[in-house]
Amino acid sequence: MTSQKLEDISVLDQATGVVMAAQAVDEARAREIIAAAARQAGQDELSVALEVIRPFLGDPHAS
Amino acid sequence: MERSKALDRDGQVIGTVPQLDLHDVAEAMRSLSIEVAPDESGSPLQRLVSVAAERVPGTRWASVSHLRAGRFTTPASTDEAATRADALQYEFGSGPCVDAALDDSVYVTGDAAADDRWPTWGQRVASEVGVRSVFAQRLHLLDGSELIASLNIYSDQGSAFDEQAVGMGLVLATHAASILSGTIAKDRATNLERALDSNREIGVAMGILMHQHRLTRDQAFDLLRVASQDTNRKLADVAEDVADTGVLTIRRRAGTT
Repeated sequence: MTSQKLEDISVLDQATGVVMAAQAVDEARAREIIAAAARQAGQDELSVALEVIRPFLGDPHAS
Repeated sequence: MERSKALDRDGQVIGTVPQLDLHDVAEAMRSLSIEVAPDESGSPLQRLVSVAAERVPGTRWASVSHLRAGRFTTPASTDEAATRADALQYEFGSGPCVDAALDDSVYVTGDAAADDRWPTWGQRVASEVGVRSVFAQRLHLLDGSELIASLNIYSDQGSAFDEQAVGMGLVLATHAASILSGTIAKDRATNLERALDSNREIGVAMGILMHQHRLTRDQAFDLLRVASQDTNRKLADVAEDVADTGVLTIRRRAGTT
């Protein structure tokens, strides 16, 4: 497994955690929400996950 | 005993090897495959030394030495005598088994006490343990393994290992090394799988903390790390708790502010 693939998995997992905390759902439901959002937007799950964690990538108090 | 020619890659004769009874060899390899193959019921190394003791003519005791990070250990032996014979070599930093591992070679002694390659060890192991002859060889394990291993075979009789015994030992060791390499590779894959699973729990926990406390990814990871140190628990365990409960508990140690 490449380091890029590991990083992608990590982004998906962090986004899952953000959705769990934001919507008070369990991990399985959070992953479903990300997958559903990706389907609806016609994007892949990684792109959606990146959008979810984008506010946390830079200035911690920016958003 | 009949001997057959050993050839190099160019077909040149480089020596002779004893002709083993193929039935015996096949039986030994079959036995080894069944008994040394990894399962839930015991150490493959322990099974290897048992098979070696049963199958190599003249053997009284057998053990395996490991060399890892500059330190020798004996992870498996048929008897305390083999463990002590190994330990004496580790103490001296030399002996047929230690040197077989280090030199990537095969050593067979006649009367160990009179062998001038290891005079002190030979006399002590004979008087203290009762070892009279030794047959040691390195096990060729998976490339990239940080482990070096040798199969150590001992007898309480002088010059116990004839050509047939050595031939059988070499065949067993080659086959065993292949099986053990498979075990090492499987263990490595299992450990990587576990590490990846732990890593995924950590990612989820980071996400929860990022949202709850408006932290960056690095800050969330640092928070988990501090909690791990603070509670003296593994980072993966702390992360699992956060993923399960949504809460991170940090307990300050006494004496800290």
